[in-house]
Amino acid sequence: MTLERRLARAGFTLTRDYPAAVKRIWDAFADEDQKLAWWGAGDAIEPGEWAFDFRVGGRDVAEGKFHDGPVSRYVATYTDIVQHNRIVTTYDMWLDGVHMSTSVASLEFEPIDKGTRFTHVEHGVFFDQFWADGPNREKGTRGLLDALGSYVT
Amino acid sequence: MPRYYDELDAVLRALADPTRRAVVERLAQSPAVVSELAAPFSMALPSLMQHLRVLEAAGVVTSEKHGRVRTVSLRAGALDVLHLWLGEQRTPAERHADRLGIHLTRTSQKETLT
Repeated sequence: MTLERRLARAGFTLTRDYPAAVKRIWDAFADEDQKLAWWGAGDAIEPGEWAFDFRVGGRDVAEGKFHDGPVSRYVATYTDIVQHNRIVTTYDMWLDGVHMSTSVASLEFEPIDKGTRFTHVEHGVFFDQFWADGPNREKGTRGLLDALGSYVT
Repeated sequence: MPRYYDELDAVLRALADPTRRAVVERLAQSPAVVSELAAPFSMALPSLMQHLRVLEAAGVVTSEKHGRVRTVSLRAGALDVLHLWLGEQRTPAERHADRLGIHLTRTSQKETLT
């Protein structure tokens, strides 16, 4: 079976208001222990490689395997950091070693009345079988959801 | 396809109708007898019964007959399948944002405790 070569391009903006000061949310990204606590994984995920280097040019790696799902690998480079204001990264995703996507993500932190407005804007290019929501992605999603469920309880 | 999809289809079809949603909203407060349920709707009783049968077949409501009076209740957990499905439709960025929110809540509780 030959693999059809194709790209899908997609972007989104996600805005959340959190009832917490900018500094607390910032620390959740800037402090390794904190970032690991919420970003890294849940109990349902076997953690793999992890690297954290929060500075411009620094590289983050987060690898994990959902209990019966694929190994997902995230590798990011910080391209711009303005303290308590914004974080910009470029990142790549792999599922079971297959290159899934390349993206640019910008995270902005804005103080508002009762906390912080967090704005996540992203543009990505999705490769070949990942141009649509393939079966691998679905499995991964389910694993992540399980992880979230056990994180909450 | 996940096993619960048949159940999801039935629940979504049952809830696609505004009258049936109104019945669900009413029953969320308490069980009700059929005549009581029919009162707010300008609809013949057989039509309402038809709607109740769809809701019951989808597992959204249950009913019990005591003498001549039929009581209808919302089945506990009947709508969980919707939560499950909605949860699975979240994008990675949404899930991360959820987890960040949970993390902030947990750490703020710790701060308050100490």
